[in-house]
Amino acid sequence: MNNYEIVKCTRCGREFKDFRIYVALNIITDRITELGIFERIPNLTQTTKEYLCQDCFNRLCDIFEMMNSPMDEKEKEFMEQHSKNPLESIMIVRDNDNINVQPKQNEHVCDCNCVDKHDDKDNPVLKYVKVVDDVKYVDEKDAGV
Amino acid sequence: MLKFTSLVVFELTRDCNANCIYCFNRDKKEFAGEVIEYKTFKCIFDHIIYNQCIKNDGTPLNISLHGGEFMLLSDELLYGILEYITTISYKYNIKIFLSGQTNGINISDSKLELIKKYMTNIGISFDGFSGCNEYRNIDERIYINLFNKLNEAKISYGVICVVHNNNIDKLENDLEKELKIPANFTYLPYENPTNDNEFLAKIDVTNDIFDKVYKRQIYNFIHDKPHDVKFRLYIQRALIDFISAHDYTYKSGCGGKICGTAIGMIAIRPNGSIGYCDRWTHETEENHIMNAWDYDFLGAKQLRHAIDIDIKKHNAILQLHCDTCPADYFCKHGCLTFDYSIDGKWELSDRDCKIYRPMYYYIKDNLIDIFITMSKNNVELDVIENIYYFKTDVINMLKQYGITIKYDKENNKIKILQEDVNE
Repeated sequence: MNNYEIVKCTRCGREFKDFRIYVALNIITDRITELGIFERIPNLTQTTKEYLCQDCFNRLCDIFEMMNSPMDEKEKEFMEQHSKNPLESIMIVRDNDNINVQPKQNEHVCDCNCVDKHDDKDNPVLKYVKVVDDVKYVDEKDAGV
Repeated sequence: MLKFTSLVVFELTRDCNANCIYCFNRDKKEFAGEVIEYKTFKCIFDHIIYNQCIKNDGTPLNISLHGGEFMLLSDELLYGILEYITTISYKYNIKIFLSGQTNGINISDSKLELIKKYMTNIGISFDGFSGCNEYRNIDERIYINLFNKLNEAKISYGVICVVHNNNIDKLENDLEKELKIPANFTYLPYENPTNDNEFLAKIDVTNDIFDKVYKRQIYNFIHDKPHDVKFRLYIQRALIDFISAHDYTYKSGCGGKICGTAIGMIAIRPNGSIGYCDRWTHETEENHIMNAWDYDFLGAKQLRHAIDIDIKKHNAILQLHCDTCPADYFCKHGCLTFDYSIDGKWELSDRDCKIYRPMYYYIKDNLIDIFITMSKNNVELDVIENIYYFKTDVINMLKQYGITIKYDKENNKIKILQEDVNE
């Protein structure tokens, strides 16, 4: 529970008279791994905040609105293309039939020689789970075996 | 600049009264006599608290007083700093964990009182008795007295021990068995801070450290005996990785796949300059991001620096093929800034591969015995990441040996039982 209040604009320092506009920018960063999947970077998943007066907020909006205009020819080309075909930037990675990839308890998910073995190579979970067989060392000694 | 930080490494001086041969701080002589000014400290700390108030996410702030050797500060200055930290953080309801890292030489009775009054815990750099501490050039006898005093005062402390050729075979008897509660210990594998010194290259024990040190830590952990408190994290992650599917990366300060450098963790110099972390071997302009009092709207400048260094780490990870390594989840993944400051290349060395890959195979080959031993000794696993499901093949295999896994979601623990209960 806070025992304080932010009473001045965090950018210009002017005391709030009418409005206090709370701006929060969420950054969520993923890296593309060697396996080609997005992997979250928790340290770059952050929220940053400012408490702004109306003047500073308007300045921020002016800067943001600059992003609506292309800065070079490549951006101009993309923006024109995007206005015609917005779905081009989105790739389907799973079809809707396999959207629930989490297996139920007791469902077999491995590639080993278990008694209950069934063909689970198509199980989409396996694309996201690393197993020993995924890893090949050139020299087993390198692996400390 | 301080908007995202949950771990502040606060260098109150870069001067040091020890002369450890392997110190990674290669230019500390340039800072002889340097001590932070009280008014500079107050200004920096006010900015830290101000940004914590804006951040307002309820997470505690970890402040680690560092150097050089921060115990070189006079009693008056240290008292002033500790009192100010405590008073201001209390005033604004900011939860603080205050710790410090010292070589212990200068801990007088008066400083001991200050530690007891203000600090959550203290780290003592010490490589063990019976000559193990020679590379630090500090008489080991002072530590007998110091540890007794810390024990008597019931101060929580940890011994940070660098593992090298001079102590690797002696640590069990000359450190682990010597330390009594409330002490704990953490091992740091020696890392050569220079590439132009033959002697320093020879004291490296990376190839042996898993077999000679960390294997014993796993044994001690599963038998509920004293073990490396930092390495416990990696043991637990490894075991959780074998039995479950989970979130793959985690938030961290130092360590972890993409560490918190420049974002979750920062280092502040006595002059107010902020750098990525304190693992650079030399002070460079490159490691200066901005001053603690500089304004950074929405943290844009800091974010840009953090993303820039993380892309470098990402490229180094791709080069080392960490993504396809079975030890990926629990590996420490080295220190990019340390390696860069030695070689001038944004590349990771394979030092940690020599620890965590063998660890993977060791646990894999002994998985049943490890879980049976844990169940006998009531050893639990702490869960930090989200667990999606347990791997049924492993769970079924353990079941054949009478071992069941119970996930206590409320307390974020995994219990290993010898009963016929499965969750």
